[in-house]
Amino acid sequence: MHRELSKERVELFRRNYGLLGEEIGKRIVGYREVINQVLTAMMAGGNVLLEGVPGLGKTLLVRTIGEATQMDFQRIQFTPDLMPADITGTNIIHTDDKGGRSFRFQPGPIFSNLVLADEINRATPKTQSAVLEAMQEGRVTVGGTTHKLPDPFWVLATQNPIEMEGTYPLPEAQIDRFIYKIDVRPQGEDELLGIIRRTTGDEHAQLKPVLNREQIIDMQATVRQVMAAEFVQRYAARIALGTHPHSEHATDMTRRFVRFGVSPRGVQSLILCAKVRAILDDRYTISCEDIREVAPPALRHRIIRSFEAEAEGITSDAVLKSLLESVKEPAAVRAA
Amino acid sequence: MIGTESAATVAHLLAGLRRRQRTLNTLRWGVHGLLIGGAAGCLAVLMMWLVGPADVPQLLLAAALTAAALTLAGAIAGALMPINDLALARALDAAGQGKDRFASALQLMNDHHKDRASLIVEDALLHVRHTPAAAALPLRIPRSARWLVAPVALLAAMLLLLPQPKLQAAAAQVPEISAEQWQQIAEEFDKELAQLPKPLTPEEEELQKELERLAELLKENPDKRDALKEIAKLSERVERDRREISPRELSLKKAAKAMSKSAALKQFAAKMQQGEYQNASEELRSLASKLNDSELALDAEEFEAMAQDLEQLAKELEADQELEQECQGASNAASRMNKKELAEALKRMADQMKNNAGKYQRSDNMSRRKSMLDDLKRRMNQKKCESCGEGCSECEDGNGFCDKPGDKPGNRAGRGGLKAGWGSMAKWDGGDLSKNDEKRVGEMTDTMETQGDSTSFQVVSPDERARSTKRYEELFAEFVQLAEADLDLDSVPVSQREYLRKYFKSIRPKEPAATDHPADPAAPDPAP
Repeated sequence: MHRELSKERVELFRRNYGLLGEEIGKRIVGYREVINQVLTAMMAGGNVLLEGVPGLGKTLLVRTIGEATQMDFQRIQFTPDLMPADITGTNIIHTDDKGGRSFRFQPGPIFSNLVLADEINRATPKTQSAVLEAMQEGRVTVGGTTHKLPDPFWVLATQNPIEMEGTYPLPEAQIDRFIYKIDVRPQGEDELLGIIRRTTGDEHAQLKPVLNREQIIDMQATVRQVMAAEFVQRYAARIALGTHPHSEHATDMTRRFVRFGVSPRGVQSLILCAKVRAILDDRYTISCEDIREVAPPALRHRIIRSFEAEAEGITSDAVLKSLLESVKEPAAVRAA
Repeated sequence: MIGTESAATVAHLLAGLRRRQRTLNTLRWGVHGLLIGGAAGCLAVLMMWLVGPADVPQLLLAAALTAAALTLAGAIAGALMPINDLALARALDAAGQGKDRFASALQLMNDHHKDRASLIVEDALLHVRHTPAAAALPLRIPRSARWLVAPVALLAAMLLLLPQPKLQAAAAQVPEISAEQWQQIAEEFDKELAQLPKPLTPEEEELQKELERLAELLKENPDKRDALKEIAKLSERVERDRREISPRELSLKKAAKAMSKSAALKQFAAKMQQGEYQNASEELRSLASKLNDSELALDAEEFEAMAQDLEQLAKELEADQELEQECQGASNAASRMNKKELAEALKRMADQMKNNAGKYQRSDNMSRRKSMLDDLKRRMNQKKCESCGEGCSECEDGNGFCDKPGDKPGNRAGRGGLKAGWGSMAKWDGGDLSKNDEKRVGEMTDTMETQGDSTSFQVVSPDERARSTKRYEELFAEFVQLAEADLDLDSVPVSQREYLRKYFKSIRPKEPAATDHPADPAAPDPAP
C-alpha cells in the first residue's frame, strides 16, 4: 500500500529523479533530453524504443541506467536466428538428487528488471512478438505455465534506421506497445569533446546505485497519483483523434499524409508521461503544455503515414507539429 | 473535501473574474455593435437619400441614432453573454504562471480523492491567489475596432459626394396646369391671335410668327415655367418694338376717350376710338372744309366744347409732340372762336394724323399684343380680380383692379387696395406715385426681438399699384432656380450650401393645396 500523494512524496520523487539523472550524467555526455525522456518513460512504467545510428551510446545509456538503479539488467542482441525461447527461456529436463527427472523452467534473459533489446528489428517477427507480448502482459507462458516477470519490468529496445537489409521492421501493432520512441541524434562539438575526454583516458567513471527497485516502484506509484483535469484529458483526446484522417480534429496535413492514427494506448502514454513532467515541475496536476511536450515521442511511432507522405519525405513529427499548432485547447484563453 | 476557506477563496477569485469578463464582453460587443451600427448608419443614409430629400443634419442624425442603437444592443448582448468559468480560470493561470493549476483545481476540487483535491486547490491558490483579475483579463481594443474608421470615412464620403437634394419644394409649390386647362388657354389665345390685325411691317410679321409658335407651344402642355419664360421674352420684344415706334406710350384710342363734349368732333372721336386714323383724318379735313365754306354753323358753346375736347386730347397726346402742338393750336383757335384759324389748324392736324396713321396703327397693334400676352399670363396664373373674384373687363388690362365695389381705396383698409405695398397700407402716407418714381417710406418700428428701435423702409412701386404682379410661389421658384445653379459650384463652401438650403427651406411657400388660392399678401419678402 503506497502512501497518498503529498508534497513530501513529490519532493522525494524529484530528489530521486535528480539523483538518478546526475549519476547517469557522470557517464553519458550530453543527451539531456534523451535521458529525460528515457527516465520519464521509466517512471511512467512504459517501454522505450531508441532509434539511432550505431555508436551513439544507446546501449551505454541503458547499461548506465541499470548500474545506477541497482536493478537486474540483461542485454539481448537480436539476430535473425534468435528464437523466442532464447529470450523467454525454456523447460529443461532436471535430474534431482534422487535421480528423478522432471522438466524445470529455465528463465531466459527477459526475466530481468531491465532488458536491453539491442537491434530488435534484426530478429524475426516470431521472436519480436515473444518480446513484445512480454512487454505488454508482464508475464511469459512457456509450456502451458505462465511465469510472471519481475516488477519493475522495463524494456529498452534499439533499432538502426539505416540498415534495412536483413531486418524485419516492427509491425504497427507491436511498435504501439512502446510508450516512447526516442530519436537519438548525433551530438554537437562540445558534447563530442566531452566524450573524447571521458572515454579515451585511463580514468573511467565509477557509478554507484542511487535508487533501488522499491524506490522506483514507489516513484511509479507516485506518478499514477498525479491527477488530470477533464479539460486536459479532453485536449489529449483531441490530439489523439486529430491524428486520424477522418476525425473532425484532423488537419489538412493529417488528411493528406496519415493512413492510420494513434490507438488509445497513445492517449494513455500522453497522460502518463505528462504526469511525470508535472511532478518534475512541482505540480499535482498535468497541464495542456505537458501534453504538448510529451506528444512527439509518445505519438510519433503510432502514426502510420501514407505512401504520399513517404514519397514526399513528410515525417510523423511534421504531422504532429501541424496538429499541435491547430488543435484548440478546451476553454482556451482568448484575447479580451 | 477542500477547506471552507479555500472554497471561499476560489469563489471570490471566480466572482472577480466574472465581473471583469462581463465588463469586457460589454465593451467588446459594444464595439462590434458600433461597427455594425456604423455600417447600418451608412445604409440608412443611403436609403434616406434614395427615398427622398434630406439635409445633412438629418442624415447625420439618422446615422448617429442607428449607430447608437446598435451599439447599445451590442453592449446589452455582451453583458448577457454566458461566461465560462473554466476559461476564466485558465486566463488566471496564464496571468499567474499557474500552468493550469487553478483550472485543474476548479475541475478537481470535488474529486473523491479528497486529500489530493485539497492539495491541488491549495497549490493552485498559492500560485494565483494574488493575481489580479485585470492581469488575467486585460482590457484590449478589439481587433474589429480598427475597422471603425471605415463607416466614418464612408459616411463622410457619402455626405460629400452624394448629390445634394434639389430644392424641389420650390418646383412643387408652382401650381400645375392640367391638360384641360392648357387646352382652354390655348384655344382662347388662338382666338385672340386670329383677331389681331394684319402685320404692317416685316418686324410685325416676325413677331406674329413668334406668337403663333407660342400658341403651338401652349397646345403641347408645356411646363408652366417654360411657357412663362416664352411669354416674358415675347413681352420684352413687344415692349421694345413699341418703344421704337414711340418712346412713350402712344395710344390715340385711349386719347379719343377724353373727347366727349363737342358734337362736331363726335365722328372724329369715334373713328379714332375704332383705330381708323385715315378716316379720322378725313373727318378732320371735312370739318375744316365745312368751316371754310361756312357750311357748319358753330355757336359759342360748341366752340367752347371743341376747345375743351381738343385741349384734353392734347394732354393725352404727350407721346406725339407734333400732333399735340397742332391739337393745342386747334384748341386755342376754337377758344378764340376764330373759324378760319380753326379750319387751318384742323387741316394741319389732319395732315399730321394722315402722315402718322401707320405709326399709330402699329403702336395700337403692339399694345394689343402686349395686352394679349398679359391676359395669357394672367390666365396661366389663374389670377382673378381681388375685388370681384373673377376676371372682369377692368381686370383684363393686366393690373388686376376693377372699379367694382370693394376695390375702392379705403374699402379694403388693411389689405392694400389702390395704395402701394400690400401689407403696408396702413402706414403708407398716401402720396401720389408717378411712373418710375418709387418712394421709400422710412419709419421707426418697435421691435419685439431686441431692445431699442430699428428703422425699416417700405418700397412702394407705382407700376405694381399696391400688389406684386407675381405670385409668391413664382418668385420663390425663380430665386430657387438661381440658387440651385450656383449651389453646385465648387466655389461655394459646403457649409454655406447647407446654410442656403436652410434659408430656402425656411421661406418655402405653403403646401400645394394652399397655392390654389391667390398669393398670400402677408407672405414674407423672399428677397435675401
